[in-house]
Amino acid sequence: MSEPILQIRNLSTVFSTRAGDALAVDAVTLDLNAGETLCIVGESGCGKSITALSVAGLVPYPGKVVGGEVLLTGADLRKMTPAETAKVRGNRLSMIFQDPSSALNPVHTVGKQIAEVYRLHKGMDAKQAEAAAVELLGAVGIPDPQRRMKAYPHEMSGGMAQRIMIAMALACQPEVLIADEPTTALDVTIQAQILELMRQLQKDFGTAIILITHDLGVVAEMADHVAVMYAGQIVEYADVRTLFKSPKHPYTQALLRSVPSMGASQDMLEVIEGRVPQLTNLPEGCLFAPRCAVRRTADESRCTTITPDLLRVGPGHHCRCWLTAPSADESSREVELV
Amino acid sequence: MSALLELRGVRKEFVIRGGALQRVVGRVNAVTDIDLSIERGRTLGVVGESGCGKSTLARVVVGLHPASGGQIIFDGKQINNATSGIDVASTRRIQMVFQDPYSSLDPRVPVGASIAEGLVVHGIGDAASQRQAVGEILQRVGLPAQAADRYPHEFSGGQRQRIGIARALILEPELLVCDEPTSALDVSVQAQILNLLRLLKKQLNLTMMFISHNLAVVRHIADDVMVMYLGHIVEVAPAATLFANPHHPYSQALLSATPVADPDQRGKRLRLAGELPSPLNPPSGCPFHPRCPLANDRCKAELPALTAVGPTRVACHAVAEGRAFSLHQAMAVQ
Amino acid sequence: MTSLDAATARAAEIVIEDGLLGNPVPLWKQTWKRLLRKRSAQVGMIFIGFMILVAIFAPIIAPYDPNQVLIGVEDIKRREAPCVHLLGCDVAKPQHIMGIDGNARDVFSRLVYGSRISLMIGVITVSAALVMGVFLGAIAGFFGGWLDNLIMRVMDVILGFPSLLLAIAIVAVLGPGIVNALLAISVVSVPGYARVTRASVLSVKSQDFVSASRVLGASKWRILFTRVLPNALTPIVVLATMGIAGGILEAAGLSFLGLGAQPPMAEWGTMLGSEKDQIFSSPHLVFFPGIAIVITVLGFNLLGDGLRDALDPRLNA
Repeated sequence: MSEPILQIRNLSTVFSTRAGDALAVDAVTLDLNAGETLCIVGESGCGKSITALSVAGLVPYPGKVVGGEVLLTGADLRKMTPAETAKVRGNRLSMIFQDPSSALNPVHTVGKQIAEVYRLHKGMDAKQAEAAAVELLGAVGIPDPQRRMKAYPHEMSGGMAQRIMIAMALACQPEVLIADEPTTALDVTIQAQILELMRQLQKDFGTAIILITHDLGVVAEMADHVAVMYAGQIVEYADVRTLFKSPKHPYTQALLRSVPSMGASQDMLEVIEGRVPQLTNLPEGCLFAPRCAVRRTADESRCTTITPDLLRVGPGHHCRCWLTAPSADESSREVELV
Repeated sequence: MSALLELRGVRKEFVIRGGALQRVVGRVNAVTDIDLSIERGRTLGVVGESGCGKSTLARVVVGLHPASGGQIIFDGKQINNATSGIDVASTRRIQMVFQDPYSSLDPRVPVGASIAEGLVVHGIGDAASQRQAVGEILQRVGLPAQAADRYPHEFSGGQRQRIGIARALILEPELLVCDEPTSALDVSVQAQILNLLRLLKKQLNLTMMFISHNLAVVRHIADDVMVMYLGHIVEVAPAATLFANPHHPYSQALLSATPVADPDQRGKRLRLAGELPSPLNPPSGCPFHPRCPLANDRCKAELPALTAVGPTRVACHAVAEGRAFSLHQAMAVQ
Repeated sequence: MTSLDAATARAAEIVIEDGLLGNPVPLWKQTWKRLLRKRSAQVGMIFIGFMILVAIFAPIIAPYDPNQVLIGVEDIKRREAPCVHLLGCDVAKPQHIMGIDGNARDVFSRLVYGSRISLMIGVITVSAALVMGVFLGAIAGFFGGWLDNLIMRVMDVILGFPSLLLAIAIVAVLGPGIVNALLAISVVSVPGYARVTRASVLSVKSQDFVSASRVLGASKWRILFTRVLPNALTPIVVLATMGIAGGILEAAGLSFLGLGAQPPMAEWGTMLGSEKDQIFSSPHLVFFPGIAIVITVLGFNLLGDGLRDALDPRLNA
């Protein structure tokens, strides 16, 4: 396999609050291959969005990336000067957000905003930029792009606005697109359109996508690889089929079982008791142990005392759990994700 | 079996006023000609995308919006009037669980006071017995009785939704209207709330109207499902029937567009072109015709009525005329 | 309701957390704690507390009667500069730490007694305006329709005039005097409270917990007074706190112009106004009343600032 386009190595982000320091992203290590989609999935507060923002260097105050590397084709984004980062961002690495209408500037027409991207990053003149913008609007499936150029963001529906955000993000054909819950605010029929658009553009431009979502359906639909996050840590990483067909981590298993199925009506859904721990007050040992039903029956003492590592449990499959960990002698201590 | 709730020709029109003189500048038919009935002990799921009128319908049923026309019949008696929603006497018997667990509890009073409000308003019991009842209902929804003295901000989203359910149940209603009760929650918490609702329904013999945009949730909790589009009912059927064999092209597309947590099902999606038309300026004829691959001239001109096809009732000319083969095939032909 | 059976508890997945079993902290205590953490509120409360203490203990603090003319009683001149023994003033001379005013009265004593009048002016004007403004604004916002239109247009008309000019006009019609000045200041500040109340009521009214009360069968008035108004009060409390400052300032302004408190009443604005021509020859006569006004007004403004943050229970982190 070729060199991954984006390598995240031990990325850690801390939020300083009055209640104490919260490790929102705990030594996250991930690889993203060109043209692939990596989904980061988890419940609210698990650190998936902060991971995305940390990669893009956009962590809001009072958060701070405290360690690790973000290598975009070998160059560490964290070691770059602000000017260099600004150049990379938008040009080679773009980001789209959950709420498209608030990400667009309400006082400028969408055409002007897209054209600006071309002028800033590609140095085009006004005429060229406008022509490129019209072409791009057509490419993201906006009917009558010429006329839509003159529309203001409030005249757009949520689906249209998200198309425009995608258009702006892809204007410079970046190598990496980070999409943070891009369809959460949209209706399902519109979501299907947007997901299809992202897939299509990925095929055309070869963009690698990091897709942040809480929706396991979207993950199954889009991902090549999946990272499941819990309380700031990656607890399981695998290719999409392995993750859905033979999940190893008790959290992943419970999460998958707690989703109601469209196929048949179950009597009771499986629930995960309790709630996500507060990052300022994490439990000892495995962070999921207090809610873990498997631990209760297995009676494994390490769960509540020692934090497990993310260990290899199969080809390209990693899991952070004592109960699935290979026994001590065959443990390879390998954290490299291939 | 008798119907506990029956709606006959219910519609709700919002008048939009503008300018200094508050002149009428537009009218929106949020829900139009809704006929439905829910039998005692059953759960009706109402699905549709944003703007389809499902939440408005819920608010009309509980009396938050007075219906602009039609009859709301509860337990055999008409309970709605033109000015003020539904009879106050009926409010005890019809209660609602709201979508947003954060804005649905008064942040300035302990949750016990919020829960007890129904008892206070209807003058049921004295302070001590009200407190007792609040403690019991809190335990029933899975919270300790001591939680009554705490303020909403001390609870998580799932816990607040339990409190919202407790508040709705304290008057021992017969009909519980749930407006997207889990859409603001994480999946594992959603499962807790859905289980709780199922359990309470069984224990208290509740009749429910369950509004949601999430088809899987409705599949899980509803006995019958009603699909709405732009204020109209497009299809009603028993849940198993609707999910196995949807008739209306919109129901088919909606079902197909919902991503399933199974990578083997990937990509087998029907995609609807276009977006929901503005309710201020709805299309003529069938509201779905601008996005429907089966639409013909009749669909553009004439509003289809709900007609029975087996256990299903569906409002579609193509189905009635036998033009509708599966939408999958229709898309393949195009 | 039947009693709880164990199966229900298990199946409903009782989520008992340690945090929910301890003693609950009342909301006002939480608010008070948050308020005490705010630097601006701390400083504001120190200023205001100081002024209130001065007002309460005025007879003890003040060395002279505020209206006593000292010519002939002591060896002093009109508008004499401050004489503080500690700062080297001749011990043989009587001590007047803020000097003597144009009518040969002790400025410090007048200032001390003036605090009573100023605080009273602030509280009375705001209370009167608050009652009227909140009532009108709440009705306009809650019931809407033509009533809303009528009330708010009248408020707009009042707001259309510069407030001090309108107050002057009212006093001019009613005649100068402290009572009429209070009335005028109250009337001109009603629209501010009405507007803020209405906006706040409108935003609270649309929240789900208000709908929940309606679904429970609560009457409109009950909803207005138990649900909507308590939640709409935050911006009003803040505005009122700062309004006390505004009231004191406007009363001082009217008195300065000779339309408010009449001599010989020891009111800060009057003191300032009657000696305004002596600013270069006897600056202490203008300086000390000015400082007193600034400290009081600043105190209330700072407190209002702190209150804004402290009163929102959702900000509790």
